[in-house]
Amino acid sequence: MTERIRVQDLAKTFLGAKGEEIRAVDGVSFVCREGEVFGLLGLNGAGKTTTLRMLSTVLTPTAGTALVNGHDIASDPQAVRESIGFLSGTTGLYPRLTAEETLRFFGEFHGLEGDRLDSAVERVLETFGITKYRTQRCEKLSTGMKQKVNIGRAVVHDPPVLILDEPTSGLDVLAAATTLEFVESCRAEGKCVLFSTHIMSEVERLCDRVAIIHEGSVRASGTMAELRERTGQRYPEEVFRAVVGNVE
Amino acid sequence: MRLSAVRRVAQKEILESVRDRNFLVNVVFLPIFLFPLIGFGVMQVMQIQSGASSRDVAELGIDSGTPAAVEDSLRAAEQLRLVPPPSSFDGTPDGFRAWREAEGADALLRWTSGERDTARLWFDGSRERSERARDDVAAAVDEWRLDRERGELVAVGLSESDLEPFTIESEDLASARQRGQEILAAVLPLFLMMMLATGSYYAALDTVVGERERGTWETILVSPLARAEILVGKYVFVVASSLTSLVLNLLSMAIFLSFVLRMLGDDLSEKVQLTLPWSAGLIVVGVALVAALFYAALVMLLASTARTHREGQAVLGPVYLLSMLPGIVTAVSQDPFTMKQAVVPLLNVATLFKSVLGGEMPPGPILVTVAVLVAATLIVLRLASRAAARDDLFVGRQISLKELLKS
Repeated sequence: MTERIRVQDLAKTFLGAKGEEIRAVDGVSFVCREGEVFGLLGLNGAGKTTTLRMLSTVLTPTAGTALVNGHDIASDPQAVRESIGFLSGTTGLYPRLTAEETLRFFGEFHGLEGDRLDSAVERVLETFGITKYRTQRCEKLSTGMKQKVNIGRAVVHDPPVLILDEPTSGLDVLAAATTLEFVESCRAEGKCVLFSTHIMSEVERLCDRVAIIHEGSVRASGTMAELRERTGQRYPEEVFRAVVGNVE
Repeated sequence: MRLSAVRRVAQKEILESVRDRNFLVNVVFLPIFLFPLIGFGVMQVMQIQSGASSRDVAELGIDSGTPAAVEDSLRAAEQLRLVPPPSSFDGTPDGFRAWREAEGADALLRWTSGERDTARLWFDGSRERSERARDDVAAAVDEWRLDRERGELVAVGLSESDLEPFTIESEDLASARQRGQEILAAVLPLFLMMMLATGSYYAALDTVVGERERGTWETILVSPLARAEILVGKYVFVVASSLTSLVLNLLSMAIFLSFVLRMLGDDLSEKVQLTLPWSAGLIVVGVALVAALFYAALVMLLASTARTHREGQAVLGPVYLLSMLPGIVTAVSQDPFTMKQAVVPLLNVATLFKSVLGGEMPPGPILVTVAVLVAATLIVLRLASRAAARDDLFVGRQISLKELLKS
C-alpha cells in the first residue's frame, strides 16, 4: 500500500503565557497508508492536535519533517493543503453562509470551477443528505446537519488524505454516528485517514493501526492486536493505561 | 499571489457582511442617516429653543427714580415686563436675592439721581432670562445717554452732521462659492475621518477577530489559499467597507445640505454655494482612497492582536476615538497645511481635506501626504502579514503590539 503520510521526528515548541518554552510535540514519527485509518490516541494536551495542525500546515514545526501525499509540509505547504481534507472539533462554519454557499466557496478555494464545481457540490449534498437544507444558513442548521456540511466542506475536492482531529467531540449520538460512518466509507474508497481521538470505542471500531501519544511523544504504535499482545491487556482502556502509566 | 483567490475571499467576506445586521447598521445605515439626523435634531432643538425664548418674558424690577425715557424704552422691549420691587425691599444685593427667590424676578435696576446719575443693575449671570434683561437695560440706557448727549450738543450749536463726522460702509467680497468652501472646510474633514474609521472598525472586527472567535480561521487556513491571499482578500473587504461608509455619508450629506439650502430660501442659496472645483474633488477622493488603504491596514494589524470581540473592541476602541482627533484639531485650527503636518499620518489627511476644501491646494504637502500614507500602509501591511503567520493564535495567547513589532 502506498504511503500517504510519513512523519519523522516532528517537534513543536510554543512560548507560554509568561514567555516560557512549552514542548508540545517532541519527536513524533509514524506512517499512514492509503486505505487505512490510523488512530492517534492520547489524553487531552498529549500533543495530538498540535501534530495534526503541523501536518495540515497551519502550524510550522520547530524540528523534524513530514510528507503528506508526497509533499513536504515545510517546503510545499500549498500542495499539502490541496491533498488533504481537514476536520476538527474547532473548525467552524461561516454562520451567515448557506450550506451550498459554504461548499461552493471551499470548492472554489480548491480550484474547482464550472461543471466540476457544480457536480462536486451536488455529489456532497446528495452523499450527506443535505440537499433539502442547501439554502439554509449554517447558523440555522442542527448540530448534526452542521457536522455534515463541515464534513462536506472538507471533502468537496475529493482529497486522498483526511486528517480528522477529534471529529466527534461535542456531537450528539446521531451526528457522531454520521461522522464514524463517513470515516468507514473513506477507508472503503481507499483514502488515508489520520484520526485523533481519546474515545476507545471509536479506536476499536475504526482504526487499523494506532499510535499512543503521551506528553508529546509516541509511546507505542501498531495494530490493537499487537498492542494487546505487548501489554498483556484485553480492553483498549487497559492497553492505553499500560502504555502511558497511571496519570493523575 | 492569485488574484482570483483574493477576489473569492473578498466576495465571501462581503456576502457574509451584508447578512450581518450590526455591520449594515454601522457601515451602511449610520453613514446615510447620521448627518440628516444630527441636522434635523439641531434644527428641531433650535426651533424649540427660539419658540420657548419668544414666550419666555423676563421680569425686571425698576424703582421710581428711573428716568421716564429709559422706562418707556424698557416698556417697549418685547420680552420684558416691568414690575415694582416689593415694599420690603431694602435696596441691597441680599434684598434682591430674597426677592428673586420668593417671586422669581430676573433683574433689578436701581437709579440714583444726583450730580452724576448712577444706574445699578443686579442680575443672575447663570440664567438666560436674567442676562436678556441685562442686555435690554444696557440698550435702553445707552439710547437714553446718546439722546441726552445729542440734545446737549445741539443746544451748544452743533449740527447732526457734526455729531457724525464719518460713516462706515462694509462690503463682503467673498463669492457664494468661497463662502460654501469655508463651510465645507470646517465641517467635512471631521465627518470624512469619522466615516473612514467607522467602516474599517466594524469590518476589521468581524473579518479578523470574528473569524477567530467563530473558529473559522482554522477552517480557511487549511484550504489551499496562501495566507497572503487570505490577508489581502480580507484587506480588500475592509478597504471597500471603509470607502462604502465614506461615499454613502458624502452622498447623504450632499443631499441633506442642498435640501436645507432650498428650505432656507433663495436668499441664502445666492449667498452660499456648496460646490467644489473638479481638481479639489479629485484630490479629496484620491487621498480618501489612500487614507482608507492605510486605516484598513492599521485596524487589521491591531485586530490581529486580539482573540475575542471584547479584546478587539478594547484594542480598536481607543484607536477609533483617537483617529477622530485630527478631524477635531483641524476643525478648530487656523494653521495652513505645511510639510510639518504632511508627515504625520491621519493628521495630514484631515489637514489636507480642510486645506483643499477651503480652496488651498499646496502641491508639496499633498504629495508628501500621499507618499507618507503609502509608505505607512506598506509597513503596517507587512506587520499584519507577520501577525497572521504567528502560531500564538492557536495556543490562546494574545500577542502584544510590542511583540509584533519585535518579531
